[in-house]
Amino acid sequence: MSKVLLEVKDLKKYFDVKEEQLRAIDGVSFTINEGETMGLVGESGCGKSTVGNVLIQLLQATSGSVLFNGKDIFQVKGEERKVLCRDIQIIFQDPYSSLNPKKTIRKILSEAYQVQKIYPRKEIRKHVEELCKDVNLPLDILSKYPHELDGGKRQTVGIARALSLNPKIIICDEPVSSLDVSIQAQIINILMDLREKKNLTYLFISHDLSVVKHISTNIKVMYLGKIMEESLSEDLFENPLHPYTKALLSAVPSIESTSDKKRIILEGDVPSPINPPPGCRFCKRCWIAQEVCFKEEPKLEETGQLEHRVACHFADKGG
Amino acid sequence: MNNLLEIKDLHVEFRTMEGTVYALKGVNLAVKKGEALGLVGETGAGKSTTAFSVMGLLPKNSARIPKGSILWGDKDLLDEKNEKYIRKVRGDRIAMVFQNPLTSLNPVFTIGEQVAMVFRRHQGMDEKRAYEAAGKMLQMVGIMPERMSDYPHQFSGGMRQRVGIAAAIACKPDLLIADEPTTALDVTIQAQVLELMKELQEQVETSLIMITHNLGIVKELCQNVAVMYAGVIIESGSVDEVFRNPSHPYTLGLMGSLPDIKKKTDRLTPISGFMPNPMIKPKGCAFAPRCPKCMEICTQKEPGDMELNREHIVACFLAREGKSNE
Amino acid sequence: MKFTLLLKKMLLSKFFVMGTAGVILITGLCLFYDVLLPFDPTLADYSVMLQNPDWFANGLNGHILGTDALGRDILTRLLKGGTYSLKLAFISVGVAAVIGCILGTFAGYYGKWLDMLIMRIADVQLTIPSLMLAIALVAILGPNEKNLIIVLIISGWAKFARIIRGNVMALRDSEFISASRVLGASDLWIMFKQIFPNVLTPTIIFASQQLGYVILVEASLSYLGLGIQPPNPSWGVMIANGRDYLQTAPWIVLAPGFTLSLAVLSFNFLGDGIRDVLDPKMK
Repeated sequence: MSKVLLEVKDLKKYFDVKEEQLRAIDGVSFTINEGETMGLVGESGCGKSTVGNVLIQLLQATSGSVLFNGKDIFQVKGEERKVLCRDIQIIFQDPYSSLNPKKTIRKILSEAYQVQKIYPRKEIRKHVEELCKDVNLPLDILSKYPHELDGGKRQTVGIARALSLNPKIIICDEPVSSLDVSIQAQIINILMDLREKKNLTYLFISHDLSVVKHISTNIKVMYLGKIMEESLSEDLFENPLHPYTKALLSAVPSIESTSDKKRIILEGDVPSPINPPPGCRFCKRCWIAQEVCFKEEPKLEETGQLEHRVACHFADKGG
Repeated sequence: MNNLLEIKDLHVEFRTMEGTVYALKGVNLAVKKGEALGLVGETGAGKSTTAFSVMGLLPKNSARIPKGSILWGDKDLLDEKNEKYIRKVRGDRIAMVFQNPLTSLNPVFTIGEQVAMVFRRHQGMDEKRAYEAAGKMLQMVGIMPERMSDYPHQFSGGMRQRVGIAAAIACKPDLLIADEPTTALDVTIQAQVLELMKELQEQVETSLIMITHNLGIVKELCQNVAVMYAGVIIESGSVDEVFRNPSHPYTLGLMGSLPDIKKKTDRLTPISGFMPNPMIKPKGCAFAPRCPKCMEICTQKEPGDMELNREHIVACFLAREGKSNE
Repeated sequence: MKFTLLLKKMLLSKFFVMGTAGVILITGLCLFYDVLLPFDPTLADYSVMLQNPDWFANGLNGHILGTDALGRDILTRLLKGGTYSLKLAFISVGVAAVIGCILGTFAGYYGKWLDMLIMRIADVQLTIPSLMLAIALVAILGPNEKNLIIVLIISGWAKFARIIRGNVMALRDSEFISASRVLGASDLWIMFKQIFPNVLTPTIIFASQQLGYVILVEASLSYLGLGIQPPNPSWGVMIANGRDYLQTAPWIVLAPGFTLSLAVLSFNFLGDGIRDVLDPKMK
């Protein structure tokens, strides 16, 4: 029985934009168990990155709670909050802006230890070198500056930094999206190896379905601030139930496509999460939408399959 | 050969303060009428440089073309004698769609005006007729006439890219070069734009060079593919042939390192090492230092193009021996 | 940036080369004036009043640039005056930079009321022309060297604060700052360990540009009698003294005037040159 590490309850994050309200996250709940990799997918404006930022507390939630090991992280303050940083960490998307350009890699990787003071000063050097070994970085990289490294190495430094405090859970916010394709594979492999070695739990945020499929144990699909469908990885791709999920999967070009593939093309643009209408968020672009969809918001409901839930009035939920 | 565009042994260098960058080291590429060619490779391979060379968009101060020719029909686009002809061809017969829809449109003109400008400049139409023609073009790409008087910032990325496409195909060019046009777009919008390009290609019979690193897009949109590495084309041929039977170790490596939504893999196999420093001209094959199947001759001589069959050309000594799939 | 590349950039920038040459020449001569020249800059010698410049007729023992109304060697006074100007410039710009940096960093990082407070004070100060402000302050505090430095600092910090604040605001939302926060770093840590190294470059560039300006302000104050007091020389004082002799002994005004221009120009060029070398994007 896996231990529940993170429990998110009815999380909401609204931004005030001029006179309107941007509902970036609008009632999201989920649980992450130890050892899992939860994939969070969606397109721009769905709120997935906001979820990451709120969990790491770079943004303050509007309402809702997040329990880590049973404790509400939003209620924790001061010194205790500093200690919490050691358990939940994040890898940022852009390796070009997430490293201080004026600092050497050694200084960047030492920062966590200097701030948290968990080791005496003379031991910091040793721990930094161990970090490099963990992520397969050559030790000569420590005296270099970020601009001397390519995107892949920089992102690896970002991973090492996230690891430095031995966190239990790491939020990966689009960690390979800014990287060149051939380097993506290296980074994905590093993440997967570390997961084994250090028994890590990941929340993997990405818009790239191929990558998410590869690395996640279970996946949640977001649209306009809400979860539309969630299931185990394989299951989502083999048996998508929500119309949005179906459209999303069909839109991804694949090298194994055949010419007779019928692709679902959605009409219109990805809408903005400002003042969303009542009813299902997806109704305006949905081809099976009926009257009820425009009035009543569907809830996430169980389907016959294991751990597969979908929020749709008309998805085939039969067993 | 009824090639529309033929790039022959193109070499392009850039003079920078740190030294000379050898961007293209002998590119051979051909596109026929009505053909869709995928130009694939990583960042730094030289795909955009190739496109810019054809369009005459290389930075004048630093770019040098020491060798090679770009033949359009029977005239060389790099030959200064043909200047008038070249200016007529570029923009009118050959058009380009850029990667970033945010920066490739002028923010102070409405989209209607920008597309109309193309008609005015290349077809000499007067304002009224040009604006009407622009309206028709925009409708063809799915933008309603009511929106013609809106400015680029009022559109989303996907819509802006459609405007870019409209402007590019306004004059029904013979060749459209699309430089990673969907990389910056969401997946469902990307699907819309790709579908649009497919339709337009069929309707207008434009040839297409699709520059991308996404092999899935190439598979769905193109008949032929050319794989670029470090300034040369290392493998080319029909999409079916090349994807079914990739012969260059780099192509094999590339395909093994990309997660695909339909493939089942436990572990990705990235290509070890990095793209070589473009300021050094290597002896022998550019991929040799990273090649798992490198032989001695690979570091001594450059492998020339070798025909595996009528639809498949590879630049590799190993492929020559027919053993690269083992 | 690698050293050889830095050197190459320095040599390529005409501004940098000319500016550095000028600054080194002037600073060098000023620092070693008492070794090179035999004369006392403040002692009057009525036997040699208003002498024409010898140029190099008598080598270093002659009055190369002539003498003034009190028989004092112009070149010696020029160089001694230069030491005051340079000392004032470096100290006041240095201190103004430090104060401006600290206040600008706090204002830019915290924003809101702190930003408003600091910037409104700076705004008010910047609307008053520096020279007028300097005159007013000297009138209140009295004209001596120490007060002069204070005056120059007061009229200079606001410009630094404004520039630094802008840079800090741009950096404040960078991802690497967020990364520090996520590791548990406090605001002070972030401000001084993360942000500060990034604002060093614009500070240096602006400081070198300010040096030329401050020299000019000091010369103006001295010209008005509010700066360096006689018998100590200063370029401004020398120009003031030479006013009456413009027709008869123009070199008394020309020498300091020319040197002043050369100094200001050199520092300006140096400032532009440093900007070229360190941050070519910032044209």
